[in-house]
Amino acid sequence: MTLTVQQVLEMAPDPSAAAAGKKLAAVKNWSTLGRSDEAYWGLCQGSAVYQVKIDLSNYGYHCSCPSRKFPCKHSLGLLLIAAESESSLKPGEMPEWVRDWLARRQARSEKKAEKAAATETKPVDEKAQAKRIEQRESRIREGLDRIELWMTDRIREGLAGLETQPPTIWAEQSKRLVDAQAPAVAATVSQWSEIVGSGTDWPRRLLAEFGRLQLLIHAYRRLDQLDVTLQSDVRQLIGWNTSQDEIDRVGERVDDSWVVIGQRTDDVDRLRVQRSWLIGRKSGDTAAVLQFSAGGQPFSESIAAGTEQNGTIAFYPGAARQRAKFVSRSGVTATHSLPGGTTFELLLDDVATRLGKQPWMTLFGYVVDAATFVPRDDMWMLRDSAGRSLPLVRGSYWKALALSGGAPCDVAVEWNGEALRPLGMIAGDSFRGL
Amino acid sequence: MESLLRLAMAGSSRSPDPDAVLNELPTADLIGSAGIDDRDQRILTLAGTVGVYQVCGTQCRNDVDPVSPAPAEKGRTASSRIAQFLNQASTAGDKPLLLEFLRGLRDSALFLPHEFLPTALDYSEDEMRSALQPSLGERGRWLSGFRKEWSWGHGASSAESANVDDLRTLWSEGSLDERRKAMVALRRSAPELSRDLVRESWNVDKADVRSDLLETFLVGLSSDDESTLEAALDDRAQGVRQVAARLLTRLLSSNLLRRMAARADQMLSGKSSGNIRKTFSLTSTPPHELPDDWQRDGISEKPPGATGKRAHWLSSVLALVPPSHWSRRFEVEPHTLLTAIAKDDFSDAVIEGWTQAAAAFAPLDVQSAAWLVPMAEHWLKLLENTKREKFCVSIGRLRSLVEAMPAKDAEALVERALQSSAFDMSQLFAELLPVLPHPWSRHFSEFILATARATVKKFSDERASIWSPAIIHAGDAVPCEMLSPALETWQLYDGDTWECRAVAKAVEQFAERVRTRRSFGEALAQEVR
Repeated sequence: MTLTVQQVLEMAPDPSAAAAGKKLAAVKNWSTLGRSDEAYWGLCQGSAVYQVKIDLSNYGYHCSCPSRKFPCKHSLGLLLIAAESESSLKPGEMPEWVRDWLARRQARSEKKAEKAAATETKPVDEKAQAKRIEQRESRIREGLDRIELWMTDRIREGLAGLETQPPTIWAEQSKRLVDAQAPAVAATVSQWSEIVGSGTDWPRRLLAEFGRLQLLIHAYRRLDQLDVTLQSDVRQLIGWNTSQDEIDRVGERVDDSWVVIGQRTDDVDRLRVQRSWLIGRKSGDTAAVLQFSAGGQPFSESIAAGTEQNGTIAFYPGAARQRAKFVSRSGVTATHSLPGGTTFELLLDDVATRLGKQPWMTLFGYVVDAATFVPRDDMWMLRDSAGRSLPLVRGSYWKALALSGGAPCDVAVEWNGEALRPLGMIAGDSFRGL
Repeated sequence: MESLLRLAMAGSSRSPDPDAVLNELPTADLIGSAGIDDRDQRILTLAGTVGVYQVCGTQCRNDVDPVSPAPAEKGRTASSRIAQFLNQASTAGDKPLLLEFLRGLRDSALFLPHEFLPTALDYSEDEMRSALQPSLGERGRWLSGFRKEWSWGHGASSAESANVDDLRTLWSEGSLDERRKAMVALRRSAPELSRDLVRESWNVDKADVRSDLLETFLVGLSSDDESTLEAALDDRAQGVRQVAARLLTRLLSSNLLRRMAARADQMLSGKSSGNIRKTFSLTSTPPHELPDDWQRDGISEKPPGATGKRAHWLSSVLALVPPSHWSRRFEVEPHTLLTAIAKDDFSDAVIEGWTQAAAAFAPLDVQSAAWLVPMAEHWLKLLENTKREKFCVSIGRLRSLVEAMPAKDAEALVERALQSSAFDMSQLFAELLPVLPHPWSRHFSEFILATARATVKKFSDERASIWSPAIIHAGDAVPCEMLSPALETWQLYDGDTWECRAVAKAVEQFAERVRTRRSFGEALAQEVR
């Protein structure tokens, strides 16, 4: 097992699942425990006997229990046993139920590829498609005109008045944008309700958000004047889906050994959004893999911070060259070092360059070489090897300071334009999530 | 951006010259060529471009000094696996388990895992701090220097690390909690000053504050404090007087104890009768009116509940006299004295006073400690014949005695109680087991587990389910060397009653607890290997 206990625990959907998984991480709870090069498996005695299996190529999992948590406590328990003591799992031939499951996974994957290929060859009613697109374009433009008018009204009357408005005003605008088929803009506007009144600098943050949307509206109206890659970005930011076909056709593919330098999972409306930052060990490329889940469903792929895997990613089309997805990956191992280390001067240069290509980017992932955590009265700072410092987002970083002992260490961070959010660090010779 | 923000906040319609503001912005020229005629759209577009402009122009700071690195550790640090055990116990608020883990670390000469240090330093209770301190290591002591609240980590509390002048300021200007901490620090470093400060504040502080601060005299209490405490007996508030009296009783040579002993002597007299079989009897004669000087010494006039006044005064005075006084005065064993008072009208009050005195003076006086077992045996006998409604009161007294006893005596007493069929077992489990020190002895653990196993195998009703709390408690209390045998399979009565389910659940909790403790022990053994 190449995942650490910590990494397994970070896969848990919530703390109670992690605690329940820990309870099952004792050999006595399992009547069968086995492993092969392709999988781990076990039979766990719960209310019934559950079949638990782990696909070692990408740590996909499945359990026959009826739990709606993913991974369930049984899958976590098996992963924890493997992480703590792989020798507890006896090497041997896979039982039929494990073989069947792996075969089904393989078949599904092939079917998906076939379907994708079939979609390519399927004749498209271009006339009908063009009409649908035209109708949607028209709705979007109307929706953007309305939100622009609403924002200019707010500017005319003054943002100060927003604090006394009911929170429903944001939901109303968001709903209108959903009706206008601009879901990404609708989600953005919906989140503005959390800005108003939160912290003393909310007017500045809200004005910046208004400004970003105004720039986007401006760009969308002149879409045909933009570079083709930037067009893709703008369309995605409005809410046009990027089809699998388009990613396969246009998306740049990069083979590398990809290190997951950090991961964040946020709840946005009723969605769970997982953002995993990757850096290619050979290419030095940075990518963000976004996964979404709703209603407690699992993310489609198990991606753990602090792991390294050989594989191919495909970037979504766009000038940002940031969002990507795994096309294939195998051989997941725990990482002991973070690639692509930089200094703050280079980091800020890179941010400026990227914003020059795509000004709506808000988050950037990096590894800072030999950085030290510095607590100050007003805020925490991260200091790089050149002696320059940037602020950390508000929070408590005593664990990071305790782990580093004030000594320089490589730190994975996410820069949001104002402050850094530490995601992980190398302490001793292992990755520690922050 | 500030001028743009002010404009947007107030509203462009209220601004006398919004264009002047917009033209001054660094991206104004860029927007000029974009052909945006509407003023408010231009404001929004400028807000967008200025935002990007500012992010692109972010400057690093050069004025942040690095922290001094932590000194090298002078020993081995426990791994992150151990940190998971500690975090789990800490997050669950499971103090007994965390204390056991910390003892294990200390005994294995391992320092706390570094990631656990911030959690460790956040603890404010003295008991936890004492358990954590030996395992903080260099890293923990270094880290504790970053926050005032953590300063206990490098040897002293924040109040203690301050000098006397700072403490005096804290005492004069701080909150009640800060004043208490300052007083505790002064009690250790400058007891004379602490007495002066308390006396000076008596005319200023409210009664509850006065009694609260006087409680700190327990720290470093000595005969030098007697005059201050005697003066506090003249306080107008009864609460303050009672605190002072309680503290004075802890000074075995205090005048208050002498006064109490004299009052008790007046109330309790003994005589021997019979020529062939001599019998010794005690008679009590509490006063009909409460003397003023008794009130000064903390004896309250009004009794609690349904107790009579005279009985209350009698037991209150006896509670403040070391029981060894009676052994010396009458030159007989405690059980003889208990028999001797049995027929007295106020025997309940006398025994109540002696019980309180035995529990209170046992830690201070070896001869008084010798009263614990006889007193407890007396209560046990009484319990066998006590009606259910009085059981709670009696077992409460027994509990206070067991709490003060050495572990061996306490276990033997509880074992005897459990072997008797006359008791309400649920009360025994609820009141007595929790006060026994951990870990239990091997013998006592074997007795409890064997009795529990036999009971839950044989019964499917209340006789089995009543053991549930004891089984759960045993998960914490059995000693480390018994963890593996404790996990041997339990044979439960094969029934579908709620009692059977309750027992099964308790056994599951017990096993889970024992497994966690055993896993920690195994993890620790691997670390030191």
